[in-house]
This record gives sequence, C-alpha cells and structure tokens, in this order.
Amino acid sequence: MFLHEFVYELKRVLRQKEELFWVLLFPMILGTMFHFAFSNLSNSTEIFHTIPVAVCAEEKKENQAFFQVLDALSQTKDTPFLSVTRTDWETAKQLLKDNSVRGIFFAEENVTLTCASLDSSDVNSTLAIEQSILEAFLKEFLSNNTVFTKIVSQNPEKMNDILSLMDNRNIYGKQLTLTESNLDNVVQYYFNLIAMACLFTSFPALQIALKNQANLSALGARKSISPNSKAISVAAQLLSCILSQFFCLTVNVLYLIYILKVDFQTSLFMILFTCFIGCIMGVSFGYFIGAIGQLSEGTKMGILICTSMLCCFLSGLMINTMRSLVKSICPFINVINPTVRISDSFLTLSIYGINERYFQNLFALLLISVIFISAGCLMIRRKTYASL
Amino acid sequence: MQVFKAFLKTARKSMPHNLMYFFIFSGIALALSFSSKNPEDPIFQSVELDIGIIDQDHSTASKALSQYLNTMHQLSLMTYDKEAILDQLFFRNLDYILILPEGFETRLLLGEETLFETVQIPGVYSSAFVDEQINAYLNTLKLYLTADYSLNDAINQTADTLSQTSNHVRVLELDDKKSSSMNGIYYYYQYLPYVIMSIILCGLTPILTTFWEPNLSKRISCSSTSALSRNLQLAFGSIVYCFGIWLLFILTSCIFYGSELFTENGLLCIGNSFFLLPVGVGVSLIISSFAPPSNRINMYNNIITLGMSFLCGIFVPQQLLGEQVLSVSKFLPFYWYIKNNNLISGFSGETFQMETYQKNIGIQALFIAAIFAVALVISKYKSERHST
Amino acid sequence: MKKTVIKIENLVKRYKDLIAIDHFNLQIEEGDILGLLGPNGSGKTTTINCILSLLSFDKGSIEVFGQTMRPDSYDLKRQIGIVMQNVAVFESLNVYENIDYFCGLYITDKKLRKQYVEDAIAFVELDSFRKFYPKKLSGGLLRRLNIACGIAHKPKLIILDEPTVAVDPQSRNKILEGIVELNRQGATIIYTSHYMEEVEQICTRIAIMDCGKNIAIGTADELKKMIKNSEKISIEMTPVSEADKKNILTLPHVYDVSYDHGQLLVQCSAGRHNLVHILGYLQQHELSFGRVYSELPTLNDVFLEMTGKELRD
Repeated sequence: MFLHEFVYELKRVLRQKEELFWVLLFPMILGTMFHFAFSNLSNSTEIFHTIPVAVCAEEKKENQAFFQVLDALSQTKDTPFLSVTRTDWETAKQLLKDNSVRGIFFAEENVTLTCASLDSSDVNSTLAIEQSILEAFLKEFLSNNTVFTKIVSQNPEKMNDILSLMDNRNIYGKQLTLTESNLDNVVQYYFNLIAMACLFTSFPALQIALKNQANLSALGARKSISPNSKAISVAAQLLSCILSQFFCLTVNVLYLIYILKVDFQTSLFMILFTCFIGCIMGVSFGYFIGAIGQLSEGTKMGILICTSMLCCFLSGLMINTMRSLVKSICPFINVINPTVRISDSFLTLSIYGINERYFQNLFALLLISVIFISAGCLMIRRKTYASL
Repeated sequence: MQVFKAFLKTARKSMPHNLMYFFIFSGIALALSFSSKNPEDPIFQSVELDIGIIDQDHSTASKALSQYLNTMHQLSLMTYDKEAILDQLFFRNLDYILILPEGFETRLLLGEETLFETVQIPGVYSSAFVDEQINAYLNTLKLYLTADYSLNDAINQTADTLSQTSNHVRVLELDDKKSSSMNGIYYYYQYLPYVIMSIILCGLTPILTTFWEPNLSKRISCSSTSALSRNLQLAFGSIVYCFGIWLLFILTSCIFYGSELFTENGLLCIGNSFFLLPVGVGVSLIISSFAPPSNRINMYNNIITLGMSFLCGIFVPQQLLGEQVLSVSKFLPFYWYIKNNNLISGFSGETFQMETYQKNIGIQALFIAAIFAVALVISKYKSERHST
Repeated sequence: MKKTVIKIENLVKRYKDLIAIDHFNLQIEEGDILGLLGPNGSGKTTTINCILSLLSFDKGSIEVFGQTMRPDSYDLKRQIGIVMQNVAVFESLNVYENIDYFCGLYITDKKLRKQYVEDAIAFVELDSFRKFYPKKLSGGLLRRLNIACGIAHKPKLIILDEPTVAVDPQSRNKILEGIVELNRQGATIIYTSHYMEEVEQICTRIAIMDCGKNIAIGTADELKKMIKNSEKISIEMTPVSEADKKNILTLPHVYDVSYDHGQLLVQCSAGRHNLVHILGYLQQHELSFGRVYSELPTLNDVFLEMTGKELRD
C-alpha cells in the first residue's frame, strides 16, 4: 500500500507542470537574473585595484621626497598601491575628468591633492574610497614631514634614528584569518534563493492535504472510503513529495554551482543535506496550510504564496540588508522565520563549517516541520464529518 | 456599457485581495525608501566606515588609537566573538574589525613590529584604507617615541600633527551636477515600477482573463456588442482601474513626503511614473489574451516583474550592472524609467537636462505603443482562430 | 432467505435547523438493484454519505453486511465500491493509471489487479482511451471513467450516486446496461437518481425519498398499485358539457373527469376496458373526437399523488 501510494504520488507531482515550475524553473530563472545583475557587483565595488594617479610639478621644483615615496609605492610586485602618470596640470585635469586617474598630486614644495567632486549618492562608491585612500596617504606623508622637521629642530641627535624609521616603513597590523570563506556577501542572495525554493515545495504538499480530506474534495471523500489507514497513505505521499521536490532542488543547486559558477564555499553534500531538511520543512508547511479548515484551494494557495514571499523578503531575498534590519527591530522574527533558518544554515556552513549554530538551525527547521505535520495530521485524521 | 460594468463588478470582487497587495507593496516601497541613507555634503569628505574595535589592552595607547579612529569613522566597541565578528562582516554591518590585544602598549614601547590584529573582508578596498590610516598613526607616534617623548606627550603631539595636515585636499568641480535633498522620494519612485507592475499584473490580469475565457468570450462575441466596443470598454475599464492604483500610490507618497513632492523634481518623478501604467496594462493584456489558468498567471507575473526589476536596475542600481546586462535591458521599458529617475535624482552622476528626460519618456511611449500593438495582434489572431 | 446487505433504522441527520434525513428506514437484500429516487435535495446523497460513515448522524443505526460501519472498518470498506456524484479522478493521471490507482487501494496483488483493471476498462469501453488524461475526455467518457474507478475492484456492494447526470443518451444507455450486468455478476447495487425512467428501467426495487423521508418502497409495479390511478385516458375533442362530464364520471372505475386545452382527461382507478366504455359513451351521444391516448401511471404519478408535487421541478 505504502509503495502504491508512493509511486502514484511521484507520478502525479512530476506531471504537475505548474507546481514543478515553482520549485524547478523559477529559482533557476531568478538565479540567472541574480547572476547577471550581480556579476559586476563584487568586482567593481570591493576588490582592491591599483589606484591610478597623476602627478604634476614644474621642472626642478619637484618635491624629491614625495617622488621617492611614489616610486616606491608604484613598484611593488603583485598589486602595486599606485600607478603614477607624470604630466602637466591641464592634461591631468582632463584625465581626472575622464576618470582615468582618481586624483592629481601637485608635488612642489607643498604637496596637495585634487579630486573630482562627488555626489551624495557616491558617498560609499569605489571612487570615494579611492579618494579617501589617497587622502590618507598624503596625510601620512605630510605628517611625517612635520614630525621630522619638528624633531630635528628639537633633538638633532635623533635624526638618524628617525630617518631609518621613516625609510623602514612598518606594517604593524597582522590580518587574522578566522575563516576560509571570502565573505563575499553576494552569495547570500543565492542562499536566500534556495531557501525560497525550499518554501515553494509547500505547493505540491498543499494538494496532498486537499486530496485526502473528505470535506475538501470529492477525491478526498473517495479516498476516505477506501479500506486503508490514512496515516500510511499520507505518510507515503508526503515522503514521495519530499523526495521529488528534493530532486528538483538538487537540479537547482547543481545549476547554480556548475552553470552559474556560484561559490558556496562548502561541500556539495552539505548543501544538499541542508536542502533536504529545508524541503521537509517546506512540505510540512504546505501540508499544514492545506489541512486548515474549509478555505478554498485558491485562498490556501494565496496564503502559501504570500507567506513564502514575505518570509523571503524579510530574510533579504530582494534587499540583502533586510535581515540585519529585522534583527535590530524584532529579532524574534528571525528566530522563527524558516527562510532565515535555511539561509543561515548555508551561511554558517560557508563561513564556519559545521558547528553548533548549524545544528541549532537544523533543529529549529525539524521542530517546525514536526509541529506542522502533527498539527496537520490532527486536523486531517480519519473522522466522520458533520457536513461535507 | 455592459462590458465595462461587468468589469467594474469583477474588479470590486477582487478588491480586498488587491488592497492587501497594495498595503504589502507600499509598505515595502516605504521601508526601502526610509532605510536608504541620507544625503551628505558634496565637499570633500573622507569615507566614513563602520569599524568594530576589540580593545583587550585598555591602555592609554589603545584608547588613544580608538579615539583617533573615532574622529573619522563610526566605531563600535565589541568583545571577541568569532561568529559575531564574521556575521557583522558578512552582512557588511561592519567593514573592518580591529583587535588591540593585551600588551599592545607594552609592545609599542618596546618597538616591536606586530602590534594589532585585524579581521577584514578579503580583498576589499575599504580595509586597505583603514590599514593605511592606522599605520600612519602608529608611525607618527613611533617617531615621537623614538625622539624620547613620553607616551602621553607623544600621543598628544601625534593627534596634533595629524589634525594639522588635513587641509591639503582640493575638490575640483567637474560640472554642475544637480544635487538634492530628497533621497527618500527617489527611492520610493525607484521601487515603484516593481510594485505597480506587481499589483497591476496580479489584480488586472485575472479580471481581463475572465473576459477572455473561451466560452465567455464567444458568448460576448455573439451578442450585439461589437468587438471594437467590447475592446474599448475593456480598455477603458483597465485604464480606470490602473489609474486608481496609481493615484493611491501617488497619494501615499504625498502623505509620507508631503510638500517635497510638489517641487519641480517631485513632479518630474510623478510624470515619469505615469508611464508605468500603460506598460502594466499592455503586459496584462498580452498575458490575459492567452487565458491562462489562475496559477499560471502568478507564474508569468513573477517572472516578468522580478526579471524586469533585476535587469533594469530597480533592485541593483543601474551603475553597478554589467555592460552586457545593460545592453539587454535597453530593450525593456523600465530601463528608461529608471534612467529618468536617476537623471532627476542625480544618482547616476548625469546632469539633468529636460531634453534627455523627454527623450526617455518618448522611448517609454514607443515601448508602450509596441506592447499594445503586440497585444492587439495576439487578440486578433486569437479571435480569428476562434471563428474558424 | 436472502441476506440483508444494508439495514438503516430510524436515521436522523440534522444540519443545524435543517433536518436532512428524518427517521429514514431502509433494508437492502443481496442481489437487489435498489433505486433511490427523489428530487434534488431530498437527502439521497446525505444518506449515502452516512452509510459510508463520511458523515456523522444524530440518531439511528446503519448496518452494512450485518456490522456497524465505522471510519476504520476496513474489511467492510473493501467490499464496497462507490461512484461519486462529482467526478473524482486525478487530473495528472491517465485513464489506465487512475483506474489502477483506485483499484490498488483495494487490491494489493499486482497480477490480479492488472486483470481487474483490464476488466474495468473493457466494462466501460474505454479501451481506445486508456492513455488519455481526464482533461481530454468528454463529459460522458469522464463519467464512465469515474464509474470504472469505483467498481474496478469488483465489490459486492456498489453505490452509484447519480452516475448519469449530464451524460449523453448513448453513454447513459451503456452505463445502465453496465449496471444491470454488474448485478448479474452478483453485486448488490444502490442507485440514486432523479430520472424516474432510468430507475424504472433497471431497478428491482425502488425507494422514493422526499424531504429526508422514505415515502414508499417496492417494485415499480407495487408502487404503482399503491396509488388510486391505474389508467389515464385523454381524448382530443370539442368542449364537453357539464352534463356529459357527470355522465362519464358515473362510468365504472372512473373517478375524475376534466376538460382542458381541447382535451378531455379521464382518470380511472382500475379495470381493463375503461377505454371501450368511454368511447362507447361518446359514440352513443354523437360527440365527435380526434386522437385518443391511454397512459399507464408512471413513477411521477406515484410521486405526485404521494407528495402532491411533481418529481421534476
């Protein structure tokens, strides 16, 4: 009996084009959109490039010290700090306008930096950061000069110490590596995307509830009078649904990883395992909604779509800062939002590997599933109805 | 006017449903617009970052360094917690984590090389910038220390020196950009296409679909109402419906932004947004002429709205989209809408010119004409197929 | 002595203020084709749902094969086949799969099941449509599929709830023939309908329901004997005088005479030669007449006389 129900549920689910669309095609399409929309994002705003600058000074009036520093900084090996163009003022201004250089150093006795004006919207753009870096660099050079003159005038005997210290420009910081992850936050869109797909597995599960409940459909009545235990029948269908939906999710994940080259920074196995748990959660959610009272199928579907989209939105599918915002306003929502739980599982895996927090997430997801399924079963268990 | 009346009746029935959409979506648009940052002064300003400081030394020197950074950045004190640190970095709530370990001051005085630790987002600009600033500070401090200043004196001198060297940056005004103080409105209008399109497609398509349902459509064709009159009535109904929705959104923005809306820029925004309506109606007509079942309507809606929104720069600013993406999105009407919105707000760095604004509106109008032409062709084709 | 298949005693079912079934009694013997006849809303489907223990009821008892029916009486359920009023098949399964699925809920032996499914397909003559999905089937074919799904497991008791609603005449005849055939193979059948011709055509016993009550039960002939009317004679003729009417009324067995729309209508309660007597009277008094019809009473007349209203509304 179990097998019979299982096989037929599989057939049914895999033939429902509309429902397959949501779990199979929609995430792929959205993922492709993400791919195109974000392909430029991490490159253009964050990864460090060499900063092009122009230097001008009249012949013989050059500030030797400054030029020395520039030389040193533009000749480092891998990613030099600066690439310097020596030119005259007018050309330099033109270069600045064309955005071919980010700043102009006017390096005679007084060294100044000229930058292009920025708009309010550019405050955190690459250009703004580059300008700030140039400014910080200039500031350091100038303050060194001030200190040097000051000290030499007060303590001439320390001059050599100072000079050697200044030549030997020290790096005092040590960068800690707390994770193997590159902390690329674009990937969280894809985390949320998969979480969304997990929630969408609730759509076919809704049908299971409807088609087994005598007061919801003729099919339900038909099945209620067959000589079989409802528990076994429903369990077979749910399992079948979970497996078929998991298959769709797997296709999606493979598409993201191998076609769109999204780097999840954790093993495929762990991603799929998490998806599987998410899938159980989604299916139980759909089953629960389907079992609730005598609302029409359309209304129940509406509830599913709205709740899923709301969960996804709050978890940051559309705007990635949403989750932090929710966390600061009402952290409890994040605790119970299944999308956050799924997407946070992926995040945990990618940054920390398998740890306590990962298990907490899994546990929360399973707990939600158990609650939904048992509540659904309570409502749908074999009974006689007061009215059909 | 029978068809029109029937249209209104159908529309009234779906009113609660649509109102729900309206509240959700206007909530989203407002949330987005209020979460956006406030405009800043256009004069040169070093980039302000969010830095987390973990001070385990609690010494004069460590406090001095924190204080120095505090003059330029947003600091938040935190304790060492690996997951909290990485989470904050991943979600970009903090850009940089500085750890001042126990013994920081002692090691500084001893002249040791590695003094502090950092956790950064790998390969990101902003961290290089903070590195640079901290190094500059420590270098200067060490110069003073080498010159036998006491720690307190050295700290004071350093602060002095660094604050004196700040007036060496000039800003070159490249052109007269329109800068503004009403960012909220622009964000509201930036997300409006997504919201309006969603509502129109979710609300209008099902209504129109009922009229295209084969049996009903045949019955109306058999009646004495001519096809032209029927189509005109439907069109009129759709226009009334969409206009109502649009007015609701304009009113909402009016309530939240008040008089700011009635400046030249605000009116330009409103004018621009008006052209979203025919786009929505046209697309809705096309979808409905295929008379899809209700669950498929949802499917098409989501693909079209989310797809257009991502490709045309509603969720991700147009400036950050890749060249190839933009070359595709030029063939979508929202692209030109956003271009206009950027033009008015100055987000894209373009100078506002009335001709450009009008040109973009013109292109939108062409798209609208094209969409309606397609809708007409399809409906013609469909009705011919019915009649054979 | 025939075995009793279903015994319903004093069944009462209320929906809030509405009494749907009002002290309903019914006994069905093995081998019967019982027609449950009644207008829409008379409680036929409610009765069936109570028999199947889908609905809870307020009073009374229902026994199926001598046992009380409960939601988990799996042994009883295995012997029952039901064809619902609404088509209950899966849109995403084709004809063969639908039948196989429902049959599989009863029959676990695969070989036997395959045989049964083939039998069912042959029975409803859907052989050339076995790969079709329900969406592609016409109304009549869909009804036949619905029937096949209900009877594929060869149950001993088959309940058909208005299986011929909205079915074309050709399909309807096939369905009716099929029901008789099933009965011949040994199944007891409950057949509900509001088409009295169908019921009269195939049922061995008929129960008439109205407002949740069992008004009468018996064979078609028995039912007809219960009422006064046994022959209805109508004669096309010019208006008749009151005197003539009175005279006709004095003829043997005639109990009602009326004239309406150019027709003289005479109701007779018994006897074989009523027509001869009446025509004789007319000739005798030189009253000219056109066409003459003589009708035996129908179930509609039975219903009309028992409830004072037409079966068809």
